[in-house]
Order: sequence, then structure tokens, then C-alpha cells
Amino acid sequence: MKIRATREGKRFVLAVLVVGFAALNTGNNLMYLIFSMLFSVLVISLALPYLNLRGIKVDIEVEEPVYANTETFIGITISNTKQLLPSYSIRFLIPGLMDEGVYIEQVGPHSTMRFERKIRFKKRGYLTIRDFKLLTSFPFIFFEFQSVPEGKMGILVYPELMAVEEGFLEPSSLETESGTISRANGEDVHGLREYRPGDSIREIHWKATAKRGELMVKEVYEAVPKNITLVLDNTPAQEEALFEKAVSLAASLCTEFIKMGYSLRFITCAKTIPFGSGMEHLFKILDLLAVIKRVDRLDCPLKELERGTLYLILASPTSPFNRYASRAKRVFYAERL
Amino acid sequence: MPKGYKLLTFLVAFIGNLSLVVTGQLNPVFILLGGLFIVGYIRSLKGLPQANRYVIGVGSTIILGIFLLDSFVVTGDVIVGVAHLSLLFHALKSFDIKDPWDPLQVFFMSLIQLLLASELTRSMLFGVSFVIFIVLMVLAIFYSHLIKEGHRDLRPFIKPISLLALSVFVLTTVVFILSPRLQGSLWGKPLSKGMRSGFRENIKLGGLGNIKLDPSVVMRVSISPRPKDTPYWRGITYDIYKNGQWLSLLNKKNTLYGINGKFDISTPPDKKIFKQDIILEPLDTDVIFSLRFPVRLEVETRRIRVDQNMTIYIPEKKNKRIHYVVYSINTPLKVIKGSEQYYLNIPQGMKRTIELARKITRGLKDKQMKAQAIKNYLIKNYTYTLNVKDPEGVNPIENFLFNTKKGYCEHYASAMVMLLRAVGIPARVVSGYLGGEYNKYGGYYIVRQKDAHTWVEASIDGNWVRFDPTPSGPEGSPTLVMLYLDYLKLKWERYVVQFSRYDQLRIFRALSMPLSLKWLKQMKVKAALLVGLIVSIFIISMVYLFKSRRTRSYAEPTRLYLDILKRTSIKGNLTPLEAYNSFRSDDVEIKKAFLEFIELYQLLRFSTKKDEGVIRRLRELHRLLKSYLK
Amino acid sequence: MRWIEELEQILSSVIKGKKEAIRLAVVALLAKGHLLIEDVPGVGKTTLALTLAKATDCSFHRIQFTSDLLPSDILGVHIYNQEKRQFEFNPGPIFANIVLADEINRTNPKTQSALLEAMNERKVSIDRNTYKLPVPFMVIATQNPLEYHGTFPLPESQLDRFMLHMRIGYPNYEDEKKALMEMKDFETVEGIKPVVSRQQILDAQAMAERVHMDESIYDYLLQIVTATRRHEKIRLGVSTRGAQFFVRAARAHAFVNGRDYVVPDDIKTVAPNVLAHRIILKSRTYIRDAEEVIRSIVERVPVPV
Repeated sequence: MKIRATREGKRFVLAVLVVGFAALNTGNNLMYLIFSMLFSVLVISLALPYLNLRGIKVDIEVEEPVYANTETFIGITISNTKQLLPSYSIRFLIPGLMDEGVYIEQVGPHSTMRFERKIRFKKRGYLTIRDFKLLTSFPFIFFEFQSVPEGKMGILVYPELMAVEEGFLEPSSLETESGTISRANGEDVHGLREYRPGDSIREIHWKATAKRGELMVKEVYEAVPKNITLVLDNTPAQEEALFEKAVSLAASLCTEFIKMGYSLRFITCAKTIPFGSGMEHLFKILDLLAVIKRVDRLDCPLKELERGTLYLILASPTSPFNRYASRAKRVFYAERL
Repeated sequence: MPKGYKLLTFLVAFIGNLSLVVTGQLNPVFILLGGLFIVGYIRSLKGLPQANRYVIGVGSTIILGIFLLDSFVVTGDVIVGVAHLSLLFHALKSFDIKDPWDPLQVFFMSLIQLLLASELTRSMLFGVSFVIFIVLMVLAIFYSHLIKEGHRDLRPFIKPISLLALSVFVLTTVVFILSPRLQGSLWGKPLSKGMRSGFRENIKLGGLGNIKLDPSVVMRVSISPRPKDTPYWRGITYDIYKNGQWLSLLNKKNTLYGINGKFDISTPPDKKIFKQDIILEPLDTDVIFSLRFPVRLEVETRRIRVDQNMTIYIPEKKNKRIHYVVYSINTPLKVIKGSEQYYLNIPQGMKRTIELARKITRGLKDKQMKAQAIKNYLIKNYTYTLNVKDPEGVNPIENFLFNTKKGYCEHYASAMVMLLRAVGIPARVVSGYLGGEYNKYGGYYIVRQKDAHTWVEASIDGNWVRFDPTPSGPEGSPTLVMLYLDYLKLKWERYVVQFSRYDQLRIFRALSMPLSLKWLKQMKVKAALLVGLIVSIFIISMVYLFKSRRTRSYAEPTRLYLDILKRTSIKGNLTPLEAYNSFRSDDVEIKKAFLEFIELYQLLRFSTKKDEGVIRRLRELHRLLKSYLK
Repeated sequence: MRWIEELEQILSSVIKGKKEAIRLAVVALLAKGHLLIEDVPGVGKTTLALTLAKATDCSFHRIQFTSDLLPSDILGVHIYNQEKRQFEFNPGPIFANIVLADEINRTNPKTQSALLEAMNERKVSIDRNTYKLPVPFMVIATQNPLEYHGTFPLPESQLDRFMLHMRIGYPNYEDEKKALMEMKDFETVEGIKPVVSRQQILDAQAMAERVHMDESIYDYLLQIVTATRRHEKIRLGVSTRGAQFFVRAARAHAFVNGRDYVVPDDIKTVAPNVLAHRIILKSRTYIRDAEEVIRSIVERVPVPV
């Protein structure tokens, strides 16, 4: 526990000393009386904050997933483990993250209080929060006691999500491009033709049949899995700020694609996450994006790019990956955002 | 700033000012000017803006000028000057309260005021302001703490704050008792001006007149056992009467040095000793008072002086309040052999007096009878009055005896001494105090200036025998409240203002042997009750504070449920049904009762039904389970 | 209510030793919820669904999901009646009181979502026509555990539509032996007589909605839900919709247990079955791990007294 005398505290100690000396010097019992009062206040303002902070435990949990620069909830559980004494007027704060802190009016013996606050992490990455602080100067203003509750907390902060323009995603064109015509089981009607024996009754297009007066059969695309390959350039030839933007864009695109139900593959230099869908898959990608760094190598060849629709996320057209641009459905340049 | 905080600031300023005003040493003009702070705080409480800062600046300059002028030219006393300054400061500051740190200056100034007051007064009113100041101060600093934390409501903290104030009181008492005192702290600067007294080595006859009207307290004396007769508090004896003045010429003083403040004045005989515990107000004399024959003295000083008439002087006492204990024996003082002749001296030209004396004592042989006859004569034929004007150039004694036939104690005593001396009986005048009010609540005498008295001692058979020729005047009886207040004043004097190293030593000794019988015997029943009361109030408030924190107020079903859980010692975060499942009992009936108890509890707790019958059944089951779980 | 006990008795006579599963099925029915059974084939899922339908006088359809199943195979199609010269709606198998959607993860996402939308809306929209589904309506879907190949796992957003999930699991030795010896399968099920009418079910559903829930119970429930959003092992916690299902399930559970008020035990009992399929754990795991996490959360949240 650290003790800090406030400005008032220093003055007060001085006053106590002066009055004490005066009392001793004059032998005036009334002055002794005043000295005794001041001294008592001094003793109390040193003893009570100590008792106040003793046995206070703090538990923190952060509502996940956490995105950079986005408000998230932090739950703070403060418990008083003392048998008898309540604690009053304590402030809990995390420097740099929650400077305003939480003010606890009182927490009784053997009881717990919960607070929720919004916090905002500035950067993506794996963060360890270590220096929590409990402060109190209860009941007076002369000394501030500070204790550092035990425990640290690791949080994976995902990149900031940005609003993605609808046009970037172009889902309809996606489907048509990669489909091949067949008369299989898909639902998306490409054309109609006359009924031939052997066709399943299920394939009859009843509306068209009604219109023409003869049985018509649907021709449909095969419901191919809609595969997307997203490539993020993390070679070192780019500025930090642009790279952060690119990462943020990648995270946003991945989130959108997964939400739309696509099967997504995510490729970067050094690490690839294979095709998959669903939220769990998204979190796998975001885990990577949270901690992704620019690699040392200047170039790395990408393989199997022909599978799925290719999207490229590059810092600028000077990126070495720009050579795959011709194969890509779309190329994003972070510098143009 | 919250209104409550402003109000508190006002109160702290008020109590600071009050503590100074009650000393009675301040100039009324400054008190009136200082009273402006009330206006300032009313403005502030109404939410009006603070004064223009130029106005404040000019005000400060003027106040500084006034202070310099006041303390070095007008009043000439720096302490009083600073006190005046503090009044003006409060008045000015009251118009300039804006941010939450301004009140801190006010608190600090009030503290300084209290310090000044402690130098200007010893009165119990200081004690009253001090107690109020503690409470307000604790509240005020606590409030400033809350404001610093951005919290504005004081109400949730009422309990801890009252406990806090209580602890400050207790701690203050402890620190006060334990703080080191230097030996002989009497060397502090005397500040009280002291009261006039009729006790000098030469007193002018008629000088006591004014004093006899003064009701201020001279001393308070605890005495055990209480004497049956009215006590005569002896001061100085006078032997020679010259030109209308009594002189004390036979006052050769011996200096005595004490051991730890204990002085043996004369070897105590095997006679019974009685103790007088006296607090003497500041008087402009170094004489102290005692009853009969003082043999031992306890006082916190290095040396005392005693003359052959057993008058005790404390040279260092002048103008200070003093506490001493004197032990006396109930015997008259002995006449020192060969000194009688000095007590027979009659001034020239008092023939009429001598004749009168002979006339009164005609036919009487015994000295005792003669003296008694003179005393009776004076009491019978003369009228007591305070309204006496002695014309210039007239012998006041003869004027009393033959012309006015009216006077008060000094006249009676002087006349009697002269009459005794005229018939050859050595006699002297003794001045001191007579009686006083007996305060039966405190078991002590309150002796006032108006109790100042002179009487006669005549040398009969080698003893100085006391005669009081003054007829007793009418007496009013004091009210009950006054007696109680005076009792408090005595305690304040004795245990706060006069608290000394010796008291500390006594306390330590008592605490080091807490079970010694002597200590227990000395402790009076009342004191024991008082201590018991204080301790129990403290304990009760502690218990109240902690207890109310621990058990929240649950409704009855929950209380009963929790009680059973506690008794079964089933622990953990369990639902009622889980609690039932972990309840082990071979008794099927009890198991069934437990299940029903759980179900009824849940019904009462979680449904909207609040059926009295169900509650009754729950209580029944609770009793059943309780008796089983015993 | 009398018939609830009888219903449970009938169910447990055909599915041995699965009391809890049976109770949950009844809870889901009374809470107007859908049930997801996640298990290996052949542990009596079909029997449970069929028995439930028979005993409650409900219509029953079973849809076996396959990879080539189309939405119209479930919902129904408009067929052109050439004689009447107009379209006629040919309702699909979803038009029944109790629908068993077997191995829902064997079909493609499009068909899955067609089913789930119908579950949610309780109506079917085809070609701008809307057809209401019968009441009561309850889907009992089964899903093979995810380690099986050739499946389309249900997306999390779809799983959310099921009020309860449960695992039946193999019966224990004794129960299995009993079942084999008695060997009453479909024959017996066919002979089951209804113990309750559809109207009674609807009344019971309405009553279950009015079960009293004390404020402290709401707090308890919400604390559990909030805790899932803050748990170190959980990546994505329970949504608001999940909390709403939780309340309904707790009420129905209280009702099934013969109370018109919810007690903490209702919350604690249904919590794993209501919540486990709504959370995503950080490490890739099976639903039983999620149940474990939910249980540990429930243990920690203080029970109201």
C-alpha cells in the first residue's frame, strides 16, 4: 500500500506539529486539547484509509469480442473480504484505460458490488492490463492510500470494424460468375425448357407451365458453395498507418462475408486460414487479425488462388501482391479509403 | 458547491468566531464588524455571486492596515490583534466563497481562532465551543473529501460519520491524557489579568467594600470530610494597625523545597488529618488559603514560602489559576513564645477605645470570657452594612465604634482586636474567606469574592483562638441548575485546565494496577456508572454499525429459511431444492417437513400469495426443524 | 395438471430412463418453443416425437433431411390445376402440429433456413401468399454431432431459433435391457391414445405464459445471461433473444412442475438446455462442453433468497 500526503495533508501535519510545540511550550492545557484533537484526526486519517483498503478484492471481466476504438463493457466486481468492517469511498481505476474510474460509496463486510463501465481500447492486439489501482482517502482529505490489487488480465483486441460500402461486396455478381449451368437441384432459375420424360416432377416450373399451357422445366445453377479468398498483404513495404487500415478493412470484410454466409479463406504472408464459415471461423480469422504484424520477407508467393473468388487488400498499388490483381475480383487499396 | 457544504462552512466560521467572542477580551467594534460574515453566508446560501475581486482586494488591504494599527497602537496586544484580524477575515471571506477549496481556508482560520481563544480564556465556554468544533470539523473535512470524490450527498454516510466523530472524541481524550507535560509548566506567560483581592501585606481599612459585592468565584474546594461548622479559609494575618492601615510585619518567611511537589510544612502530629483539594482562580496575590492548621501541601511548583503565622505563599503562582491539595489538622495555631507583645500594640489617641474595652470587660477575669463579652457587645450594638464612607483624617475604628456604629467585617474585626488589646489580650486580624456555597452534587464549596471576610484571632492559653464579631448577613440559596453548572465548571477546571503531570502519574499508576482495591475504593459509584455508560454507548454504537451491515432486512420467510440453512450447516450457493437434496436425515418425517418448509418458503418468497395461514405453517415447521436440529 | 403427469408417464413408458429429456420436451411444447436434439442416430428421437404427437392428439410429420432436399419439399408448392384453371397450394410436410426434422444438418443451408424461418414466423410465405401453420406447432429437429462428415452445421444465428436443445444419449444398461425385453416399438406407439386435446395444450400454453416471475428471479436470470457475455471461455455470449427464450422456458418449467410461480430451481435446471447452444466457446468444442461452461456459470451466480 502506498501513502501519499495531499497538499492539505502536508499543511495539516505542519499545523499539528506547530500546535504540539506550542502546547508543550506554554503548558496550556487548552492548547493540549486542540493538539489532541488534531493529532486524533491525523491518526484517524492514517489508520482508516488503511483499514478501508485492506481486504478489498477486485475482479474484472471484459465483454468480448473487443474491437479497437469501439466501446465495450467492462465488468468490475469489488468485494470486501473483511469480517466486520465496511469500506467506504473507494475509487478504482485503470490508468490509461479507465482514468475516471469507479467510485464505490460503500461496500459492507463480506459483500460484493458490481459495476459496468464502457471502455475503449485504442489499438488491436493482445493486451495485458496490469496496473489496476484502488484509491481512498476516506474519511478525510489529508492522505491518499493506494493499493494495487493482484491479478492481470489478457485481452485480445480485434481490429476496428469499419462500415463497408454495399458495392464492395457485390454478392449477386459473385454467384453468377462462378456457377456452371446444370439442371441440378439449385433454386436459382437460369432458364426454362420443355418437359422431357425422365425429368423430375419437382423441376416443373408451375407458373411458366400455366402461362404457356405446356409443362416447362426449370434450368438452374448448381448451388455451388460460394467460396471467397481474401488476401491481406502484410509485407513490410508499407506504412504502419496504412497497414492498420488494411487490417481493419480485412476484419470488416471478413465479418460481412461470414455474415452473408460465404465460405471464406483468409491468406496472408506466413499464415493461411483455410475455407470455412460460421462465426467460429470468423473469430479464428479475427484472432489472427488482432495480432497480425508485417513479416520480414519482402515477398511470398501465394498458392491455389484460383479456388474461390479472390479479393485483395493492399496498402497501395506498389504492393508486391499487386501482381495478383488481374486474377482478383476486386482489389482494395488502403490508401484510397 | 452543495448548499449543505456552504452551511457547514458557515457553522465552522460561526463556532470559530464564537469561541473568540466568549473570551470577553475582544473589542465590541470588531465583533460587530466581524458579524458581517452572517450577511456574506446568507448571500452565498441564496446562491448570489461572490463579491467583485477588486472589492475583495481593497477589503484585504484595509483589513491589513486595521490589523497593524490595532495590534501595535490601539490594543497593543498581538494576540487580541490577531483575534480581531480573524474576525475580519471571516467577514471578508464570506463574500468570496466560490470553489470547493475556499471553505478549507475558513476551516483553517477557525482552527487558528480556537488556538487564540485557548490563550485568551480558561472558561468552560471554550470547552463547549471546542466540542462543537470537533463535530463540525470532522463533518466539514469529511464533506470536503466527498466533494473531492465528486459525491455530493452526505446522507448515506451518517452512520460512519457519527462513529468517526465519536472516535475522534475518544482518541482526543486519550491523546490529551497521554501527551507529555513538562515539569513546572507554571512558567507559562500569565494571560489572565487576575482578580483584585483584599490580600496584600498592607490593607487599607475599607478597601474590601467593593469586593464584598463581587460574585465571581475565587476557589472551589473539595473537602473530606465536610466540616460541621462554616469553614474559615485563612489567608494573611495582620499585626500592626497604623494610619488606617493594617500591616503584616511579623511575616518572616521560610522557603521550603518540595519533593515531587510535596511539602511538609510541619511535622504532623497523630491527630486526624483532613484534606482540602482546591482550585484557586487567578488572584493578584501569591497567598493561598487553607483551613485551621496546615501541615502538608501538594502543589506543582518547586518552592513555597511559609511565614510563622502559617500563611503559605507560592511565589510562582501570581495571576495564574492553580490547583493544590492541602492537609490540615483540626487544632488552633500555637502562639510563638515571646511574640505576644507585638499583638498588643494600640495606636496613639485611642483612649475612648480603651475605656470602652474596660467597661465591657468589667468584672470578668477569664481571658476567654472577656473576649466573648467584647464579641457579644459588637454583635449586639452595631449594624452590619456595606455602605460605609470613612471621612478623611478620621480614625476609622473609632468612627465605627462611636459615631456611625455601622460597618462590615473589617470594621468589626479591627474594632475587636483593638478592644482586646486594650484589655491586655494579644490579638490580630485574619483575612480570608468565610464559608461559601456547598454544592452537594459535587461535594465541594464554591467560594466567591463576596465571601471575603476578616475575623479575629486572640491569644488565649498559648493558642490562637478564633473570634468572629461580625453578625451574619442574609443569604440566598442558589438554584439547582446553577449548582450543576458550577459542578461542571469545577470538573472542567480540575480535569482539563489544571490537568498536570501528577494527574498523568496517578492515572498510569491506577492503570498499572487496575485491580488494586485502593483504586476501586476511590472510584466513586457515580464515576463508575459514568464510565460504564460511556463504554456501553460506544459498544452499542459499534455493534449497531456492524450488525446493520451484516444482516440485511429480509422478510420473515427468508429469515426463517436462512436460519434453517444456518442450522443445518448446509453451505454453498444452493437453490432451495438443492439444499433439500443435500439435507441428510434418517427421520422420514423430518425430511418431509423440510420439503414442505422449502416449498412454503418458495411459495411465500416467489409467488404473489401472502397467506397468513401459510406463514403460520411455515413458522410451525421452522420451530419443528429448529428443535430437531438442536 | 393431471394430463401432464399422464403424458410424461406415457413418454417414459416408450423411452426408458430419460425422465429429464421427456420433461424438457414437454416444457418446449408448453413454452411454444422448438426442440433441437443433438445426438447419434438410434437413441429414440423419433419415438419421442411420435409419442408426443400421439398422446397429445396432434398431427405429426417426419421430414428426413437429405442433401437434395429443396425448400419447396418442406413448405409446399403451388400446383396449377388445369381443370379449375387456377393455382392450388399443395402444403408441404411442415403443415403439422409436431414436425420431426430429422438430421437437419444433412441438407443445404438454403433448405435449412427455409425451415427455420417457418419455425420462427409460424407461417409460410410462397409466391406472395401466406399460409398459417397449425397450432400448436412445434419442430423437433435432430442434428448429428458435428464430428460426422458430410454435414452442413447449422449457423449460430439459426440455432438461436430453438428454445431448447438436449442430448438424449444411450440409455443405461438396465434401461436398455428393459427396452429390449419389452421390445415395444412402433406397434405400441401406434396404439397410444391421446391423453389431452389440442385445445388443452393451447390453454396450457396460455397459462404457462402467465406464470409469475419475481423480480429477484429476473435478476438471477439476467445475471446468468450477463455472465455468459463476460466469461473467459466464451467468445460470444447469449443474445437478448436467448434471454427471452430463457424466461419462457423457465415459466413453462415451473408450470410443468405444478407451480404458478418460478423458483430458482427452474432457472438452474433449464439454463444449460436453453443457453448452451447459444454461446460460442473460444476453443472449438462440442455442445456438451458448452453445457459444462453454462453449469459452472450457474453455480457461481448467487441464488436469490
